[in-house]
Amino acid sequence: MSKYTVAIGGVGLVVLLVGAILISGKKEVPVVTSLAQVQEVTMGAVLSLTGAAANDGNDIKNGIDLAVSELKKRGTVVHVDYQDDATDPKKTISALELLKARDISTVVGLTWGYIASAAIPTVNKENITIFSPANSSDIVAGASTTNRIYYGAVNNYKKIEPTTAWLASVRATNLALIATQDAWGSAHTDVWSQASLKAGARVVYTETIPYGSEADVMPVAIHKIKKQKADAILWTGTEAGAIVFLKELERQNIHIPVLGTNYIRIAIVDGKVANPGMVSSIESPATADFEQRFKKAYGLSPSVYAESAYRMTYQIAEKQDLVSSYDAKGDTFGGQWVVAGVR
Amino acid sequence: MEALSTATVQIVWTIATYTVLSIGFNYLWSINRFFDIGYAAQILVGAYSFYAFERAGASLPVAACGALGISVICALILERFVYVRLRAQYASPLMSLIVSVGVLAVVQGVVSMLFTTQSQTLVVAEHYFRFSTVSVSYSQILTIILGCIVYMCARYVSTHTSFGTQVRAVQDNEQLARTSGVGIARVRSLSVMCAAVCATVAGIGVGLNTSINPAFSMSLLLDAVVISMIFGLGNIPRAIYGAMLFSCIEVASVWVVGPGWKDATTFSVLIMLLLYRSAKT
Repeated sequence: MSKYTVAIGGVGLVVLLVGAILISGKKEVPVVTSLAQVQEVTMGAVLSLTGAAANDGNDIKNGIDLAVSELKKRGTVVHVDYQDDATDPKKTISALELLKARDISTVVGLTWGYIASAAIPTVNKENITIFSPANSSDIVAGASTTNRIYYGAVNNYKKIEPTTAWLASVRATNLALIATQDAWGSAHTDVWSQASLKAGARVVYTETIPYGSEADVMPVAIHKIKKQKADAILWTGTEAGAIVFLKELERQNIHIPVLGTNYIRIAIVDGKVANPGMVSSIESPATADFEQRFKKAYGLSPSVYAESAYRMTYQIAEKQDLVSSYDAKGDTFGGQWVVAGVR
Repeated sequence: MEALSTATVQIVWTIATYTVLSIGFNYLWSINRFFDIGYAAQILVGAYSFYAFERAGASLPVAACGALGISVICALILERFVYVRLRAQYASPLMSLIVSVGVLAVVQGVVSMLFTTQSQTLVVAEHYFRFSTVSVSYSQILTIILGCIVYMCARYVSTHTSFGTQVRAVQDNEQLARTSGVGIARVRSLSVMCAAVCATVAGIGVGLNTSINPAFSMSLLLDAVVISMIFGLGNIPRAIYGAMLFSCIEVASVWVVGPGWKDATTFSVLIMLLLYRSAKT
């Protein structure tokens, strides 16, 4: 062994010793564990962000987004895969199948009743759980064929009492009913018929209008209402239908009390038609606390559907017990309908 | 009596609207020879331009002129950058139809982004003319007057001007028209402008009386197609007869049979009429 080899070996040994001393003397650094505590949830949302139901669809989306931003602050990151069905049931089904292909089985949406009805076979086949903020089981045809849908809207039978009270307050005796020609309209004509019986009013005219035919049908309907000497009208329909209805009332110079669903208020409050007076709307109001937070976030007043979507997003993200929130049909336990004059 | 007056107002207004729609569609059919779904896009552009001008504070005539101007410009841009190129590539009617569906989808998307998908009204505080049992809104009167003016102009242009003759020549045989010295590009441009004017007038008329949304023009287009087919596609002077027949059947079916049967009754009568016509020829 040469002296050079001994020297190199000695230097190496010293380096190793010094290294070992330095490593052993280093303080232990704690591992950051906060990332492990963040809970991540993925859900789908099939909403009508365009088309006839866009008003409700966007309202629901705002409700979901508000819940998502709040949950994020609380340490739960919710990824929402949004799909716009353009108020077309065919696109709703495609969107549900796409979400299933992406391994997403919990979906918020199916904005209107006929969309939810069309989606039921796919929901059953693909084992998808639906949270539908704007529907109740009575307006979804075929709702009894599935137990995979939870409904956020207040059931329409709860409208009987406030409608009866309104009929009594305006002293209605001859009643005219105008509704859409679908499950929504049918649910309302049933409810109104029961309310009219309780209030002692007689239904003198009923008109169910196919979607998109409001402009053609309304002149006839209003004329017949006038002819039958109705002294109050109960109305439900689309946003476009509300505008045509109010315009036709004005054109045919009819000034009798009207109770309508939310679009009649929206048409007047948004300034799309002049307020003919004596118009009331029956709606399920959002809670004051939610309204305050929603206004702060978006500068808009929320509909009850936004609050349902908000609540449902929390239920999904926090895996809440659903038995205490929904009955056997999937309808929500909470909520009420309130009649208010439109100003 | 009141029922009759209400129905009459409805029929006359519908005839005016359908006549204008049908004339515009016939102009496009004469030069394109395919079902141009883009016509629905022109209706949208016209109605929403009017809405935008009105919201900006323009008076009704200014808003109408502005809407006509924008609609015509958009139609010419579409013709220059889409349809001229399609023709240069000898696109089949089916391909042109698909492209026109795409045009409508794009315009609907733009309109939705700019004005939302909610229904909008072109006039909030409506005024009415009331006499005895007759009650007509000023917007209905305006639509009826405009419908008459458009029809008379179209009829005059079609039968008394060289442009009308040239449109018919292009419709019958484009090659022959070209060799006869007809400026095909000029005829096409003028026809597109006429169609845009009709689309705008109809769109504003419907919007004033009801409401507008990005999807409202498609059903109007379908009505225009059906009306145009009754007395022959491309026959501009006869558009009014088709509109009269269609409106009367439609309104009568709602009043007599019921609203749920409106489309079924109307189209049953039209199918029978077309079958009768084809059997005769």
